[in-house]
Amino acid sequence: MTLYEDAFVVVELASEPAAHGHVIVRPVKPAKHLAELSAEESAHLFTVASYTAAILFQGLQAEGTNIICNEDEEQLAVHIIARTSTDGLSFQWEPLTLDQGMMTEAMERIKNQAYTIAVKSASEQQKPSSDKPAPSSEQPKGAPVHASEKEARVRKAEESENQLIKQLLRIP
Amino acid sequence: MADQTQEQLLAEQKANCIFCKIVSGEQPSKLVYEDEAMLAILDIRPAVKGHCLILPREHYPIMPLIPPAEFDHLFGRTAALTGALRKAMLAKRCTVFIANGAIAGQQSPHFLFHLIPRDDGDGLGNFDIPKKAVNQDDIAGMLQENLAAVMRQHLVRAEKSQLLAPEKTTFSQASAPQTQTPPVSESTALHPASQQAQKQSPIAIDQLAAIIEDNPDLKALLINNPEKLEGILQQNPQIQQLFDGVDVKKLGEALREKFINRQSPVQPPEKVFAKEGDIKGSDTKEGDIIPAMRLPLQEIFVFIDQKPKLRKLILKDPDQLKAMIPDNERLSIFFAGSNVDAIIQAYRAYAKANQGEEVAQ
Repeated sequence: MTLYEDAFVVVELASEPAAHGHVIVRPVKPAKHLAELSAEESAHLFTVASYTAAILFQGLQAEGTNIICNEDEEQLAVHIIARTSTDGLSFQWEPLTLDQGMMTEAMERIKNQAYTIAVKSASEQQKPSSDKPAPSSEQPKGAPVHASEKEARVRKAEESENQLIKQLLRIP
Repeated sequence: MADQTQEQLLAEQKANCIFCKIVSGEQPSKLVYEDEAMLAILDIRPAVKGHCLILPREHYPIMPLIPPAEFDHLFGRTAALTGALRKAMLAKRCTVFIANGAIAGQQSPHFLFHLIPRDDGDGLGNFDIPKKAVNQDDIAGMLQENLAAVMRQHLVRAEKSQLLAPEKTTFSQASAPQTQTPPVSESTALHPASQQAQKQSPIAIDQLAAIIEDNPDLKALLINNPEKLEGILQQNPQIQQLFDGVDVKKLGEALREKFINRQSPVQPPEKVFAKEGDIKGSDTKEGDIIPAMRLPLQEIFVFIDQKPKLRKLILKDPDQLKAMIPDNERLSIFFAGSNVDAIIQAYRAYAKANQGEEVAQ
C-alpha cells in the first residue's frame, strides 16, 4: 500500500513486516545500489526515511527505530522498523577483533577509493546538470516560475504567521 | 543537574563524547574520509573488515536534530561512500545501518551510522530483515496523513516544492476528528446558502470545525480578529482552500457569541512555564503551545527541554504532572490527544540516554 510519493521516492507499507510498524522507502529511479543515486536523490531518500522513523516512533509509541538498507533487492529499498523491547528483533552483530595490520590495510584501501568524493561533489555543484538528469537542479522554463512565485508567497506568509500555519499544515 | 539548561547539558555531553574527541583529533582513529561537515572512520569493533562509521563533525544526540543542509550533505555523500567502500573491499553490496534509540542499538550520544561491506554468505544474517505475517493496515492512514503533511512542509521550506507529486494532497476524509461535532449554529453559520461552495471545499464543514476546535490559536484569531485571518488566507492559497466558500467573519461572530454565552472569553494561551535558554535552531517561540501529537518527536523533546518545570516533573514526579494536566490550560493543550505516559517515557529515555539524567521511578 502506497503511503507517500514524490518525484524521487515511493513509500510503502511492508507487506511482510518484521514488526508492527515496518515501512519501506524506495527511489523512483531504477537502482540496485545507493551509489547509482545522485547526492540529491540519496539525501532525499534518507530524509523521507528519517521523517518516517519519527512518525512511527511517535505514532506507535515505539521505543526506537532502525533504518536499514541492505542493497539485496532488485530495486533499492530502505526499511524503517519501529522497535520495542518485546518485538523479539535484534540486528546486532558479533564484533570482530582485527589486528592493526588488517585495520590499516582496510583503511588504506577505502581511503584510496574515497578521497576523490569531496572533490567530485564540489565540481558537480559548480557545473550542475552536466551529466545528471536532475529534475530539480534545473527547472524547466515557463510555468514553474509562476509556481515558485506562489511558493515564495506561501513562505512569506509562513514566516509572518509561522505558528498558526505550522499547525494547519500539521493537521492530519 | 535538573536545573541546568539544555545548552549546559549538551556542552557537558560533548566534553565527554569520544566521537567529538575523534573529530577534534584528540582521540586517534582510522580515518577513511573527511570533509568540512563529516568524517568516516573504521569501526574498532567491526562486524567485518572494512566496517565504517559515518558521523557528522557536530554532536547531534539524535537523527532528527541534524539541520536539513547538514543532513543533505551527510546522506548525499553517503551514496558515493557506499560505492567507494564496495570497490575498496571488493564487496557485492553495502549495508547502511542506522539505530535510533538504545533498544534499536544506538550506543553513542553522537549521532552516527554504519556502512558494512557485504557479500553473499558472509555470515552477517543479523542484518537480514525478518518477514512475518503481521497485519499493519491499521497504521496506513496515520502514516499517510503525517507523511503528506511533514513532507509538504519540508519541501516548501527547503524550496524543493517541485518534487511534490503533481496531484494536490488534500486532507484525507479518513482523518476522523476526535473532537466532538460542533453545535448546529456553527455549521449553519459557516455557509447558509450554497451547496456548491461546500463541494469546492476539500474538506467537510464539520471537519473544518473540528480543525478549528483543535487549534486554539486559529480559534482565537477567528474570534478576535477575523480580518487579519482573511488577510493571511489571501496570502496562502493552500490554507485558503480550507476556507473555500466559508464566510470567515460570520464564522468568527458565531464562535464569539457561543463563547460569550459560555462566559469564557477566548484569549491566546498565556505563558505558564518559564523559559530558560533558547535552543539553537528551534523555532518554537515563547508562548506557543502546539499539541504534542502534532509535533515530530524531536520538537517535543526540544519543547520540554525549554521548560524546566515541566522537565523536572517528567523526570522526578510524573504522577503529579498527570494530576495537574486537567486543570492547567497549557498542559491540556500540549497533551491533548496524546498518550501522556508514552511521552513521559520517551522523554525520560531520551534524557537518560542523551543528557545522563537520572530518573526517579
